[in-house]
Amino acid sequence: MLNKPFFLLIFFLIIIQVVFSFYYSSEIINQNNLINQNQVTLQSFKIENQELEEKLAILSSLTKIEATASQKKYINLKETINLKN
Amino acid sequence: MQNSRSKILSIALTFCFIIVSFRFFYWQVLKAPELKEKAKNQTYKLEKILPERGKIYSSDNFPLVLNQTTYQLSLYKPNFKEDFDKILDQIEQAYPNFKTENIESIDKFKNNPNQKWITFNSALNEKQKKILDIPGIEFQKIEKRFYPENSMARDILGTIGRDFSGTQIGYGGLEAFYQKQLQGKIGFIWGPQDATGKTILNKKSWSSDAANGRNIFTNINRSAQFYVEKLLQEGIDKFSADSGSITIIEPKTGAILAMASLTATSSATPSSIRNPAISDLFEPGSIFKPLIVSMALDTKTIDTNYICTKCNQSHIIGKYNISNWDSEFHADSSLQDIIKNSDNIGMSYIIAKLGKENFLNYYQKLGLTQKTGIDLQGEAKPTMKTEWPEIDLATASFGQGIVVTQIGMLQAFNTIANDGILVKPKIVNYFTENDKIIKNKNQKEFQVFNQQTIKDIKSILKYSVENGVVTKMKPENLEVCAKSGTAQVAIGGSYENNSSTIASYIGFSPCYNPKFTMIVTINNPKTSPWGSSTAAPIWYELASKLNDLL
Repeated sequence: MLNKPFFLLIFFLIIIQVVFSFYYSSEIINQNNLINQNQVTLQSFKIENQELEEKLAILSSLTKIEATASQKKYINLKETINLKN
Repeated sequence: MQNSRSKILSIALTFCFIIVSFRFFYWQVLKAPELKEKAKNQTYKLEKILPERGKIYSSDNFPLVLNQTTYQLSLYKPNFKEDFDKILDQIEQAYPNFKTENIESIDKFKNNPNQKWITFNSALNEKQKKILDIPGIEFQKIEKRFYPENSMARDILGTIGRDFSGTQIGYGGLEAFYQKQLQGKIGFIWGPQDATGKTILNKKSWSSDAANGRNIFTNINRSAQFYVEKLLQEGIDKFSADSGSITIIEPKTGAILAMASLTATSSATPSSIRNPAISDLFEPGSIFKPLIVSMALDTKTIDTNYICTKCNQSHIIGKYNISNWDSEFHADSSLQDIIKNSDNIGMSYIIAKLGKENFLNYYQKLGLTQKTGIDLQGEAKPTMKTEWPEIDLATASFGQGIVVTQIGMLQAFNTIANDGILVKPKIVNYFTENDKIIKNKNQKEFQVFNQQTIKDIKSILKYSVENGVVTKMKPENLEVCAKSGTAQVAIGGSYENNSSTIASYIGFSPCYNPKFTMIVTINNPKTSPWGSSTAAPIWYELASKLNDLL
């Protein structure tokens, strides 16, 4: 007589445990994937930021300005304006 | 029969159940801590989080040293899903000139079926790496230092290497001196790892955050540093010298505005670890004379009306004969003229009046027996003799027989510029750590000379510049208090078999409330051995630039 409810209870508990463990592990995996993905994005932003800082520094570097300035040449303006009366 | 069978079965089952229960108890309760630990060791790992090394900036907040992340590209044939040439084309598109840069290695790799793996030296950036997310292409992250101004201030900055664990270690300059501040703190994560070996971050058991290294903001004036290096190099080459050094200090604070040591363009580039301005000891020569005169004035052993009545002939001390650099005699020289003419004879009489005790007392007060304590690695400690016979004291009056570093000499001379107060030189102004500013502590300052002495010596130096051999070099709008010096270089304790000199010029501008104190040292100039014709022109050219810059 007692066997049936007892059996059902055990069965029910096992189902709950299985469902919960599936849910819980998939939740861990999802959260972990998200953290990993965010970390990769953060890292990539950091490196991009580093590259931008580097580019900006090169552009305003005195050494670079001096090197390029010595290569610059004046362009003779050949255009004339014809003013007609 | 059946009843007894079921009884036996029941007893056997119960017995088995008890055994299994005991076994469970053994493994799950008694052995639990040990097994837990074993399981943890198999699935948990300690992950290192490397901090970012601090950057170094000039006084205008321009980065002199940055961190650079690049990727080294490798190819692994078994993972290729496309034709090798197609993969190469894609690499070439993302990284132009890849094929030209690596033509030989590519050919070898392509034609050798046994070679499965190759790594190229080309450094790719983050964007290029993202584009090349193709099977068979692997990347290795390379962290290094990047110098936007190329070799500018290399002696100050130092360089980095790696220790056995791959941690960046500074060598020379600021990189070594501030290794602790720059390196930051390594972080750790202790947690389980997934099947791919990555740490499951949301199940971590313990972690300690990494702290990035402090950024360093120096006192280096980038424009001044630029001109110092440019004009020093031109000067070394023009005067056919072996090498040279220039250091500029802000008189009131001791902030180093620029510092450079270079060799002739034709010679091999020296190692960046050594900084001659702080590591090389030299005999200062006549640039030391104003300090001796200041000592004599300060102790009142002479006054400004001093006249050298014995300067009409050589000063004979025992078997030694002290004469002048130009072999001339200046009879009845005033104090001003002794400095103007750089009169060795006059100076030897002044130091004789000053006396050994007074001289050594001021020599120590001026910090010339110790390191200056500048925040750079590799400063040399000056050596000091213990015995001071009369001749040695006499030669010390014109800067021979004593040794100093360039930075030590500048620190001492700067006391004249800074109203008699000695300030310690420093490269770093402040640090930043997570937007928090940490000021670099000022070292103790103390009064060496009194105000009257400073007033007198400044007037003597100004007179010397305006009436001496360098007058023509001085721009009209510039007020300068300075002194030239030429020291013979001794080999094996003798000056006789060596014609090489160290030519120097030291001074500040303007004379009252000066903006800078600067020293120029040229080693073994061959066009002229004199400081007034080699170091002085460089000094004045730089001074006129600094006058506009500061």
